[in-house]
Amino acid sequence: MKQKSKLRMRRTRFIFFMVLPAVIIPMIFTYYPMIKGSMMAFQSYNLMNVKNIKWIGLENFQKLFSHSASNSFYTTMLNTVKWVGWSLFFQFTVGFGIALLLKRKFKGASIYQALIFFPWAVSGFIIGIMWRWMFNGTSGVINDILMKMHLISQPVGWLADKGTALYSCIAANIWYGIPYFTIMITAALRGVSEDMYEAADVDGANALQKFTNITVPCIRSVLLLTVLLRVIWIFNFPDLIYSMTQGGPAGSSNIVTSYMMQLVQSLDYGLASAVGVLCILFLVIFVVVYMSVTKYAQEEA
Amino acid sequence: MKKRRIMAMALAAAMLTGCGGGGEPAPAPAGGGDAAAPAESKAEAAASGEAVTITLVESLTSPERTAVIREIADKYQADHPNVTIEIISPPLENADSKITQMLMNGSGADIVEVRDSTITQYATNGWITDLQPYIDAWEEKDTLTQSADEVIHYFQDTAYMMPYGFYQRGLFYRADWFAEKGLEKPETWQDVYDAGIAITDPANSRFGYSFRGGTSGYQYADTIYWSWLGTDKIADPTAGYYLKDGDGATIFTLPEIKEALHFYKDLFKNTCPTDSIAWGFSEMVQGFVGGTTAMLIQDPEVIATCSADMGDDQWELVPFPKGPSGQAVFPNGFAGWGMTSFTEHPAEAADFLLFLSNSENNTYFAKNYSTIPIHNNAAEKDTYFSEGRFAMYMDMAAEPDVYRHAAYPQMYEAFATYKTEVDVMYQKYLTDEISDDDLLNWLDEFWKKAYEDEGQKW
Repeated sequence: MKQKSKLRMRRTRFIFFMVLPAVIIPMIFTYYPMIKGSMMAFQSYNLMNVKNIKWIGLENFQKLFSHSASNSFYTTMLNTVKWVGWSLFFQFTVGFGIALLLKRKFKGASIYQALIFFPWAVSGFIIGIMWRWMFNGTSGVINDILMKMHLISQPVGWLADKGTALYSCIAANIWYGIPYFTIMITAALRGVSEDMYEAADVDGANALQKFTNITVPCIRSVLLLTVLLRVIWIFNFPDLIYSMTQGGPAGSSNIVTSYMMQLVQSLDYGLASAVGVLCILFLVIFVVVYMSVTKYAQEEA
Repeated sequence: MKKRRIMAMALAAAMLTGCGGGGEPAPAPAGGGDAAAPAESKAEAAASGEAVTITLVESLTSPERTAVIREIADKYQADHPNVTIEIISPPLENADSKITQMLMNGSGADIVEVRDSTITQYATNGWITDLQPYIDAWEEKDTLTQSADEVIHYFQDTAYMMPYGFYQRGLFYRADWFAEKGLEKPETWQDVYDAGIAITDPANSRFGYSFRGGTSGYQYADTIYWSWLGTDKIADPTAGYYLKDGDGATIFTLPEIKEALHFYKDLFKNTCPTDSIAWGFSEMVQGFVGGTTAMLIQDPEVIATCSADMGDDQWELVPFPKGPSGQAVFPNGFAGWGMTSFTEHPAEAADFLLFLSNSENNTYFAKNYSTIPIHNNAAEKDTYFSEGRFAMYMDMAAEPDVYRHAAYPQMYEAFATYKTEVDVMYQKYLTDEISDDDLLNWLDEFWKKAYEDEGQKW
């Protein structure tokens, strides 16, 4: 009897030690920096003078929401909504469209598929630099093509104009993000049984009816999840903006995360962390609302 | 069950987003130990001959430059078999933040590259140490140029760094286009403007001037201000925004500055490509070398690019343009080496630092990296500095009353914030979102406040 309980204890201890790394590693590398980083948001934490770090309450947040000529945080927030909204809408619709086309078998389908997926394999910064030169106002290829098509009469400074800079970045982001939806949705479509379509054909359903009554419901959970993850990723994707416009001109293409990168460069980590904390809050609220509106969590697996 | 797990993952992803940029790993407090009593430890180390590794961290990295430093380090190692020099070259884009992290940790570096933009931060935080005792004992201290002397004592009269060279700007122009239009070589800002107007032809995508509207564009506006004002009115060459004896009053309220600002805007509107409002270094240079713009103001490192991509008779390099004050005023950009305050081998580190900076090695480095050397016998050591394109810099040095130096007050802690906000303000002005008074008031208030908060720091 005694022998048995000793054995059980040894077993428990063994399990405890095996699980330990999985607990400690996220603690050290994820949660500790996260908490420490969030604390900075309430401190005057400037690397210009690390001897003078102190608690300042909500001053960093007040600074973000203050109305001064040099403060562009309001524009930045509005830009973030446009950036996420437009990018997501076109990435999703075009990505979905291509996925539907790829479902059909045709000659060279696999080559086409490989080409479609290509942008996804390249780093965001490289994509940004590439598009920056393409949108260049004096020697960019986009102006050249549009002029040859007689759509514009003289070169346009896409990234230099406050009206077009953000949308140029969005265009690049759409191009970049389409493959993600295509990949995910193509995979989901493969899982939809052909029998259902055949049954629908027997019932005399048209293409649209098949799409709304079979395709969409069958891959609904994949659609909801990919959109959710994509919102988070687009929100947290300053790479393109940073390498294309650095948020300019005059802050007109800054989004919250690229703004945060600039603050880090100004060595004011307190202010940057305040932006980070706002990002977390916003995204957590978004995720909760999104999940309850779409009734995602209640659904059967 | 599965759904719930996915939801938790999504939430976690959302939360991680927030700390991706802002929440950098928490740094440890700076190592406080001062490098005291250099003389004794030097004697000790030399006597014992123990194996020592000196780690040098560079910032403005390029493979070519690292090779030059390595070459000098190998030479040093040959003479000092007990010393190993290790060179760390973080990627250029985030080298300075990497160095900051190492310095905050208080370990891993003996010599670091210090720049005009980082010296205040490093010195204020006590990360780099005074080199004066070593310089005093250095046999080559007498050949240092006046510029070098100024920079050594840049921050609070303490020798926090030994510069390796200077980046002075000159005016590059397209000699062939100028000849085509029958234009003289530009000597003043007005010449630059007039020639720019004559050459600008948007239909053929030809423009006068390579404008810098993107990052650090304000530096170009500043040089124009000072050229209009003259350096006699400013408080100090290192604090070019403040007026002499002004008790914190700035230059931005003066009528000359407003006039200069209008000139700056006209130059942009009438002689530059519209998208140059977003141009940074590479676009400016590409604009000039690629045949879009006729004039470019840049550092000597562009000489190599021009030589490689253009015919010899296509371009010229001439001194910085003068303003109505009769002076041409520009920053004497610098960078150099500093010794960390926590180094375990101060004597060896300082010895190598000065070896790197001696006349022979510095001249060699400057030639290969296109900086202006720190010893006044450089031209004797290498004719490269007295002949050819580089000679222009010697011409400028020969007329110190005309070619003068001034710089933005980088010694203020507020400068880090200023750097990230100011370009946006200029862009707003250049695109007519705010008026000249809005911009000048903002500049005036920003620097008046910095003076109130931090006092006189020059």
